[in-house]
Order: sequence, then C-alpha cells, then structure tokens
Amino acid sequence: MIVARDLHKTYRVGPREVHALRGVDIEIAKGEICVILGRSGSGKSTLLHLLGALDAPTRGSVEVGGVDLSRLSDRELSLFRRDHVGFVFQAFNLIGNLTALENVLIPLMPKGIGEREIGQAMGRLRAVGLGDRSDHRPQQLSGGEQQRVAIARAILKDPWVLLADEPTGELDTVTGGQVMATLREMNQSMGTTIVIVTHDLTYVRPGDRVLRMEDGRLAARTPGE
Amino acid sequence: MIRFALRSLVSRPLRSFLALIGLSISLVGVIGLISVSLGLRRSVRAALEQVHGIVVIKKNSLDPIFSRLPVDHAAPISRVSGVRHVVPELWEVAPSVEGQGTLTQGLFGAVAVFGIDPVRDAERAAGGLYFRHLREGRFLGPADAGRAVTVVSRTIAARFGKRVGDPLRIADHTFEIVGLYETGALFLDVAMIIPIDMLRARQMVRDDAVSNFYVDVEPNADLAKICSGIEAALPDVEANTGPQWEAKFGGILEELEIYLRLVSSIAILVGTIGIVNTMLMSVTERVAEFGVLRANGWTRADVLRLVLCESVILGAVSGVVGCGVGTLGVHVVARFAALAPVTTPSFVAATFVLALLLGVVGGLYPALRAARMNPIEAIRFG
Repeated sequence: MIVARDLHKTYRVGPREVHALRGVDIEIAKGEICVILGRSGSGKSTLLHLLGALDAPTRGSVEVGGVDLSRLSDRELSLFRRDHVGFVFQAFNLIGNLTALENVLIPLMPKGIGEREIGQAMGRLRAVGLGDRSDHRPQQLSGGEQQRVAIARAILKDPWVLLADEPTGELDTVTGGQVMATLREMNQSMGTTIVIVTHDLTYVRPGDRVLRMEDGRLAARTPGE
Repeated sequence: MIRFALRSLVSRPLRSFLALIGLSISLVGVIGLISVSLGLRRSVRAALEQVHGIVVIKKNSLDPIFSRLPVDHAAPISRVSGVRHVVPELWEVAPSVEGQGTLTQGLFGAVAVFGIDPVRDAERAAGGLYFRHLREGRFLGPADAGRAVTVVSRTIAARFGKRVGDPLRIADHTFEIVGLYETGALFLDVAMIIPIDMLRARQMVRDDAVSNFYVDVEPNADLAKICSGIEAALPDVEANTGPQWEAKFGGILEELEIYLRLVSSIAILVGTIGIVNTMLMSVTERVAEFGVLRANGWTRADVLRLVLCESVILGAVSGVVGCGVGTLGVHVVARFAALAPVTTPSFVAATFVLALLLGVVGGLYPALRAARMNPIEAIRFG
C-alpha cells in the first residue's frame, strides 16, 4: 500500500539546516497497523506527513496505493488526500464553530452536501459511538469524544490509509485506550491501513508492525523485518 | 460552504459588525453625496425645461444676473428671421429682504429681483413662465408702472411669513405683494418680480442697460439658426436655448460631481480597508483551521472560495444596510431641504453591486494568503 524510498527531508531554520529525515525506506502492506515509535525530534511526524502527501520530501519518493505522489500537482495532492488519506492529529483539530456532524463533513464541503453525504457522515459518527452527539460543538465534547469525531472525519471517504500523529497525546490513559481501540476497530471492520506515530509503547499490540525512528533514520523493526 | 462562511462571521460578532458598519457608512455617504448631485441636476433641468425660447446675455456671463447689455440691442435681435418678440429683462440679487441678508442664508437662500416692463411684457417676460404659474392674487399689469408692487414665489412668501396684500421690504424699499407664483423648480422660485423702472431707480442702474433679452420665436422656428443669427448680428452676446443652458450648467455640475465622486471614493476606500483588515485578522487567527481543511482535501481554490465567500457576505450585508439607510436618509432630507436629493432604483442597485465588488476586492488578498499556506506549517503554527 505504502512504499517510500530513500526519503530525505531538510528544513531551513534561519541560517541552520535541520535534517529531519536522512534516507528512510519503508513498505507498509494493505491492512497493516504500523506503529512508529521515537523520541521527540526523531523525525516520526515528518515521516507521517510525507506518507500522507501533506508535505514533499527534499529527496526520495512516496507511492501510496501505486500512485507516485511526486507526480501530482498541489491540487491533485489535495484531492488525493480527500479521497484516499485520513488524518488524525494530536490536538484533534476540530473546527470550533461547526457541529460534530459538520466537522465530519469537512472533506466533502467544497463539493456540496446533500442527504447522501449527511447519511454517510452520520454512519461514521455512529461507528465511533457518537451518533447521538452529532449536533454538539467540540466545546461540548470530551477530549476522547473529540478525537473520535476526528477519526470519523478521517474515515468518511473510506480512505486507503489512516495516519494518526500522537492521537492519544492529549488524552488520559483510559481515554487514550478507547481511541486506540476505535482505530483498531476501523482496521478490523474496514481493512484500513493504519499508521500511528506515538512515543507510548503501551499502545502497541501483538501483530502490530513496529518501527523505531532515531535521528531521522529507521532504527529497529519487529522480528522478521 | 456558505453556511461555513456565515458561521465564521457570526462566531466573531463584534469584528464582523465593525467591518460591516465601516463599509455601510461609506455606502451611505456615496448614496448621500451622489443623490445631492442627482438632485441638483434634476433641479437645473426642471428650471431650464421651462425655458422655451432663447435667452441672450453678455458673452461669457454665467447667468443674466452677471450680465449687462445695452437696451438698444433689442432692435438687431428683432430683425433676425424667426424672432417674434424681444423682451428686455433686468435681474439683480436682493441684498436683503425684510432686513435679512439673503446670501447669508446659504446658497439656496439667495433671492433675485426681476424687473419687467408691466405695460408691454407682463405676459411675455421669461417666456411667460411666471405669469403662467401665478397661484394667488394677480400678476403685474399696465397700471403698475412706477408703483412699488411685487409678485413673489410662495417659497419666498412662506419664508418671511407673508401673504397677498402684505408689505415686503426689499433692501431699503417696501413693496406691496400683489400676487404669488409657484413653478415647483428650485432655481425659478427665487424671484421677486417688480416693475423695471422701480428696479432701475432703486438699484441705480442706467436706463439704457438690461441684464438680458428673452427672445420669443415663431412656432416651429429653427432655434439654432436664430441663435446663430443673433450672435452674428451682435458679437458681444451669446444666445442660448434651454437645452444649451442645461449643457452649460452641466459643465459646472460635472466639476462638482468630480469632487463628490472623489470624496465618495475616499469613503469607499476606507470602508474597503476595513473589510481587508477584518479578513486579514480572521485569516491570521484561523491559520490552523485552514491547515486542517487542506489536510482534509480542500484545494487552494476551495480555501480561496471560502474566504471570498465570507468577505462577499460582509459586502452584501453592508450593501443592504448602506443602501437601505442611505435611501431612507435621502427621502427624509428631501422632505425638509431646499435642494431635494434624488435616488433612482438603478443607482441604488449599482451601489449594491459596488458593495459586492468591494467585498470581493477586500477579501482577495486575505483569501490568497490563506490559500497559499502549507498545510502542515499552518497546523503547526496554530
């Protein structure tokens, strides 16, 4: 599903250059749950953003579902993200003046919202256990509920891959566990490939593919890799 | 997307309201200023439409009041083919009426004294304009030669609380009001008509001088040809028909309109800057939000459309408020002011369209800024 070759990413911070990725090769199969561990500054979030077409590598290539992202224009990348990639962020990133349902519908808003789209979004909210909270604003939801709304938004279009960047970072252990359980449920029921960036080993389960990032490189893999 | 845009505006009510008010006030100013100009044009047209003949004045004089011609010019004018009657007329500005300086009452407080020959020209002076619009009492007649009598407009009479039969003091002289006229045109209802010999005696004007000649023409006469004939016979005069007068004043009004449009443009610029400022602040505060939208598949064009939608909504609401209040204000002022401002449906519609365009213009730069953001940098920034 995801193939990345020799990924490099360099940022310029003032006069300095920061090498966030220093040649990463990765292959993630369809339906896998892949957990990327690493300390802060190891490059794991940068890797996630490149895999999800949110950013472009300085060098190297990324293919998702057989599509070479480097060949896509900015507009095509946006549409690719809309149709094939779902994102879940640490800070939930819901829009405060929209309801839960409207937040889920964000990917479809530019094309126009009809009954079909509303039904689809309600289905996703019910799938994450929030069917009765569709008209609540984010301020009226708990942290865990907000993150589940974000998950519902991420899976609205049945994406090929769901990328979660520290999805439990702002949640307590119990709530974080519920969110992780929701993600695993999506993987089981929809076969969605899930890539999770975290620094918390407690959320890793047997069968997960674990990758460790250190100083912009992949350091360790699960047995057999 | 429209609902999303509305929510964004409503979620920052004070800021949206202030931007709206800024542009609305500018639009009220535009409607007010331009309607004054339209009202002025309408008043001038209403006056000059009633001039059916030709007015002969000293060359390069703006108005008969500023013109002086020898009375013997009447003879060569009357010899021009197509001329039926030549009426000498004398105009002066009344320095005071009932002890009040007239020019100090403002531009539309000025009062003119119109001297006519009551024996020969009572019905023909100014093309019979004042004679035809007599509403109360009587007009001047042959018996009034040498008498201190006057016919005034209802506007003047009302201003000084006078009726037919009352005395009216013009400068240091008292006249009896024998009649009241009303044309309905602002620039015509400013005259006090007195016998010309009384005006000459009181104003110390030479007996052989007049302000202008009113030329009455034969039916179906070629007015342009007659004007040319008069100007050829008397090189020191200019002969103008009503439409030509309107064109002359139109040139002056155009200069006024340029200034009014300049002031309106400044007001519009200020209002638009308000929109730009509001939208820029909004975009800056919502950087992370735009990053999330882009991360969820919104293209740059979608983000641009969202921000433009918000600013066009601001423009539209400002347009409704500004045009509504401006139009209402014009109608209220028109009931009380000497010069009635005028609006037309097409002008109000054009102002509303202008408001929409200003919404687009005001939101364009902020929209481009929002659309150009890198998604992940935007999310990190937030």
